[in-house]
Amino acid sequence: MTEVSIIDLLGTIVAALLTVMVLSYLFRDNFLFRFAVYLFIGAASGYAGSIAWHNVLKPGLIDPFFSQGLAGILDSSSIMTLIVPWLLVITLLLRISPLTSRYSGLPLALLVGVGAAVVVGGAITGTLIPQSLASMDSLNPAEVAPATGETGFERIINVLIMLVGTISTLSYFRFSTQRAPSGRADLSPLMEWVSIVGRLFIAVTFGVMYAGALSATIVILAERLQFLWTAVSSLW
Amino acid sequence: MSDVRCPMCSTPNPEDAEVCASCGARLKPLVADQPSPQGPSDWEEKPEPIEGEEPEEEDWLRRVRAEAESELPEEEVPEEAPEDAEAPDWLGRLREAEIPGEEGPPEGEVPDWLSAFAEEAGVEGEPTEAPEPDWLERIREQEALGPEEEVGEAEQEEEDWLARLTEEEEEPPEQVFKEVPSLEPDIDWMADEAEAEVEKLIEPEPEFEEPELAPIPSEVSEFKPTEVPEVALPEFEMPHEVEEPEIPPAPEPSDLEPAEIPEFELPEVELPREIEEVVEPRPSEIEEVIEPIEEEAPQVPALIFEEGEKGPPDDAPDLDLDAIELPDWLADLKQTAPPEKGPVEEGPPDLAPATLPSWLEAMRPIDTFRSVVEIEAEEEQIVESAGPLAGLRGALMAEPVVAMPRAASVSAARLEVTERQYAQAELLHRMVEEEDRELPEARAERGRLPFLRWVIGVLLILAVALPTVMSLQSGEGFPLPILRPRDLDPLFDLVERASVDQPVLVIFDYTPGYYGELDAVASPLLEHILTRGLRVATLSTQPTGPALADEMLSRLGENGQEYIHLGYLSGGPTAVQLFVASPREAAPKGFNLPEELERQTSWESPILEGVSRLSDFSMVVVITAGPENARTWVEQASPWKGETPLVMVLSTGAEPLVRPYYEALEPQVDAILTSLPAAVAYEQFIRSRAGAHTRWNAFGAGMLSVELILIAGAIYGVVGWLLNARRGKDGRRIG
Repeated sequence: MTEVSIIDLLGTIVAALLTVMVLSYLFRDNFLFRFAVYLFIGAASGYAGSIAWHNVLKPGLIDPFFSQGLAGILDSSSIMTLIVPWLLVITLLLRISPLTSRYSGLPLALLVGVGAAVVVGGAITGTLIPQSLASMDSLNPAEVAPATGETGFERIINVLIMLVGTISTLSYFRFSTQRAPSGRADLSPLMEWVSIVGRLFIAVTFGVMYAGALSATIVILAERLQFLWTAVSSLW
Repeated sequence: MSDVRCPMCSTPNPEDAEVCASCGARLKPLVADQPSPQGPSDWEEKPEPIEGEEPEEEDWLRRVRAEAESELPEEEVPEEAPEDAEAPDWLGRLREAEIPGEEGPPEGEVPDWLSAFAEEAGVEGEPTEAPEPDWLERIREQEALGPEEEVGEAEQEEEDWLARLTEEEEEPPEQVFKEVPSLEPDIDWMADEAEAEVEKLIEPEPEFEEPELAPIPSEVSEFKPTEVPEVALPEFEMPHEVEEPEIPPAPEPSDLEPAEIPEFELPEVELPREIEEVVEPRPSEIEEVIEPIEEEAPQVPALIFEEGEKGPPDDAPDLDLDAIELPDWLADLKQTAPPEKGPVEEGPPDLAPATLPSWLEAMRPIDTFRSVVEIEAEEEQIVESAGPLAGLRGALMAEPVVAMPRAASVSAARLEVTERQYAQAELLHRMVEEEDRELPEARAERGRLPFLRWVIGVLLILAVALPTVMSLQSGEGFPLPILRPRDLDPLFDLVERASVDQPVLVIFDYTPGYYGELDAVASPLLEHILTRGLRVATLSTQPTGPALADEMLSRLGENGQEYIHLGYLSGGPTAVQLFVASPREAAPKGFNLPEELERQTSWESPILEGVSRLSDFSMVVVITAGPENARTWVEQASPWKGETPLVMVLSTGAEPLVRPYYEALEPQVDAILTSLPAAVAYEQFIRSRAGAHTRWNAFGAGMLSVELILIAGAIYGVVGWLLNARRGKDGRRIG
């Protein structure tokens, strides 16, 4: 047996043991389950740190110092690609101490501000406007859905379902209403019914998502049991 | 007669005016109008003695002294040694002067301070050549008469001496003043200054006619005319050394307003200790002088001492002669004086308690107002820091009184509450009560084993593991899907139409927990791509993504030839936008590069040749388990992908939230692949039996068991609800 196969065998055994330890949660929360979870969290964190060092920090901050030399560092083109990132990193590291944490506001503000701008801009142009337009589909039976090829009565039914679902779901989240002189704040009967329909759509959506998560879980369980059976079979 | 100058505004007023015509201040104090039993104090009304004029009261004083000496047995005089021991030196010398045979203090015993005065005054010569004081001359004349004559006179006048004494006391002050011996020439200047200061500070009693009041200095004019403290002093000729202490001491600057105190400096004179003790002004003495002034000003009720409270001393300490060691003959004289002739002690001021008007009484806070204000010691009082009272100590603080919580004395009008407000108040009240209510202690969980969970778990494990253990091949157990999902055709067409010259970008955006599902779902697509000869470049926004990509693709192709790893893209949505705009700058480093690309970047691989933008890829495939990652790529990549199709390989749970992007009129997702059945169908379509088929039976068995468990649970719930409803009906019938 070669060295690689021994390592693979040990890895398979460890993976099988860890799988069993996780499945032991079926009985109750126990030490084996917690040990496996902590081990996964630690290994994932260490692996992420290693990836960040080798893929981000070292090639972005360290390697340029050795590859470009002093002249390259002092070059004007290195200001934005090397000097500024180093300053931001150093100021962000000042957050370690409470005395100097206030100086880390600049890189944090830069991160939060740029991140928020990117997310909001993408949400508006990529989701809000296109999805709003998608809910305003034509009721012309002659139209054909480009993605699914639906047409005629089938497409109209789908368009109506989407329209009703969108309106009723949005109506469910409308909590403001006029208060009666008696002090009660009830929705009108029409809005009550629309809200109930919206609640049904929400329930169906969550049900589908739950069913999908359950289906995914069954597939994952099947993969793990197959792995265990393969590991056990390989030992014998 | 001269006008009376107002002590408040210095306006001259007629002598008989009661109040000032200018400011209305009272010119004649009410207290001063009361006749004093002892008559005016001689020290304050003392005019300048006229030189050469013979005092007219010498006889009465001689009689008084004779009486005093006659009452004492001659042999008792020397026995008062203890008192003599305590008596001051000057008094001892005075007594010695009374002893027959002695001519007064010897020359050598003249006090040093007196000698110093004489030297400073420029008086030269022998001390014996200096003119003897009048009082000393009178003593010698008295001694020349002989003790027998004095005793005889004393016996004759023993019965009515008090009457005469009273009459003498009631004589005009001018006569009394004449008896005051003239000051020594060398110290006249000091006496003049002292008396001038006394006149400045003390308003002369209007009862006595004063020839002419000296103009009051402006600094002293701030003081009101004061009631002269009444001194119970029998009229007698006091030695000069005793008279000086009776000069009212000048107020200390610290006790009065500093800016208004005239500064007069006496030459530093070494006074005898006895005189210094009396002359030294004390705050209590100043208060005695100022108190009558304050009585006329608006009074603070807290400063009025009520009954039972300890008030200020009635007599000023400096004027209480009991505290002064008097000569024994003077003390005896005082003792023999009839009580009714003695000084009448002034009782507490006869002040009626202030009565508030009814309307003011109604506004007065009742509960928390402190009727008695505790006056702190002067050192502890707060110095006012602002306002016109800045710098003063002990000013009444308005803020604490204002901020003091107190109950409203006036009942407020009834609050108008509407039904809505009442309902809101009730709701708030209930909410507060709900917060305050203690929750009942949770019942201790019984040590019941989770049999139901074990049963469900064992059923699922057996259902999933049984097909695997039985080595059932696909198609032997659960039937394979006959119908091909409608979503597969567009995806299959995209892969078939993709350009071989351009690589396919595959994004592995999921964690290892979803590897079992997404490996089975994405494997058919990647196999199809690689089968068609398309080259693959992988990328991940998850740190573990490159490893998962390598694990999957290593089974399907060859690293460096068919696929290349761009590695980890850090930064989330921002990095995604940066990558779609400029891929080479966003992901410069690769992952697990082949040996031929050692010390190089993944972009130098032939696979990525000619790729500088997102649209240079023939297809972008995003494999993700969460809708957030899918949405990020849709939102950020749509403006930059051009004609490059975007395909989503999703976990089953994320499909409902991503499908709208696919089924829109203008789809942002061009194809979608999700769930194991679709993957099996795709494998069937590409005629492959990879990972999806190997898990089909286990997946089918597991889903069947789940459905059975759900049905069993639903039946259990319905039956239980029916049973409860039936029990409720029976209960109501029985009830």
